[in-house]
Amino acid sequence: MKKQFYYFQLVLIFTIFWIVLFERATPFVLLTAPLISVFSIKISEKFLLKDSYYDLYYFNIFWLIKYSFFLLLEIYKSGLSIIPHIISGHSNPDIVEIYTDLDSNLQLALLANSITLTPGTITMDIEGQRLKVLWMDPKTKNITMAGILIKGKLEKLLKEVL
Amino acid sequence: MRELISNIIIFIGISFIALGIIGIYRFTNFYSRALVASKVDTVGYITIVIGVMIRHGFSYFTMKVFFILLITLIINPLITHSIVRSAFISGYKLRKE
Amino acid sequence: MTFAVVALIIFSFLSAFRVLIGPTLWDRLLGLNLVTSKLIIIIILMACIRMESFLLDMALVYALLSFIGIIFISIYIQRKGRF
Repeated sequence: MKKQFYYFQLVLIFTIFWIVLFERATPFVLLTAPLISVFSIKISEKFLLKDSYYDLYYFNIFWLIKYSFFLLLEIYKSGLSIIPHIISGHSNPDIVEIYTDLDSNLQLALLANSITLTPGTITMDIEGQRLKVLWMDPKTKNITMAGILIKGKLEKLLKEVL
Repeated sequence: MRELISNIIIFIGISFIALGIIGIYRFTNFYSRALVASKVDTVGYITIVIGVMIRHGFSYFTMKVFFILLITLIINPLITHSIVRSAFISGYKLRKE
Repeated sequence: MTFAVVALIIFSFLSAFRVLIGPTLWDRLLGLNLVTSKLIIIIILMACIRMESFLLDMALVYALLSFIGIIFISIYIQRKGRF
């Protein structure tokens, strides 16, 4: 049941994308959209991934909407906090290591991309569950304190994906 | 009325981008420039696109702009990450100012 | 609206100047990324002014092409020219 709902989500998203690219909703477009999306999912599973999307990249669409709103809020918060650095022209960037207890590939990629997207921090390298983060103005170099300051609530939200 | 609100939002976005431009000429270290420039740019980008979306209401135009915003939000951190990682692996040192 | 386009053109010239003077190679790449993102915004604003939505397709394709280009240049530098 969970698997059918997941593939229904994917087909729905691809269908909306197809309709928006055509900019009209005639019967021809509505008919070809699900066919093309099922075909492209099958082809990419067979030749590109050699595994199913369900095992590799499971997500829920309601969770994704919630997460993106939270991420937008976070981006604006830290975007405003970086302005004083630009005006005063003072900075001492340094590399900090943090530890995370997420383990699936999708969660790690989302966490690294979110850290890079929020202004002030850039993910540099990832080995196992340790992330090297370049930080604009490091307050601590302690591995757990820096983890709390950088990850914040992102990790707690990311754990709900499964 | 809607046009006025969208003009104000677009103006805020342009001032964010201007801050990013000041940032890349202000700092002397590459890592500070990379941290400041592309990130302030991202914030300005999101703001301007939201302004354009408000101006047009709900239509195919808005949906297409929204998809461009989504694709750019996925692509932008990847580009920054790969540039900074390339500099770090090639041995560019961290310097204090 | 026209003011926004003119301001963005000036900003993209200023970021292109960073490509010219940048002391290191990665500074130039950063400037290239900034120019690209400003060009995408200019295309979106022009489509909004003239109300022609085929320009948005160009913005989409341009975003994807610039992504592939910059990623490949930075990986090429990272491996010091060997593939």
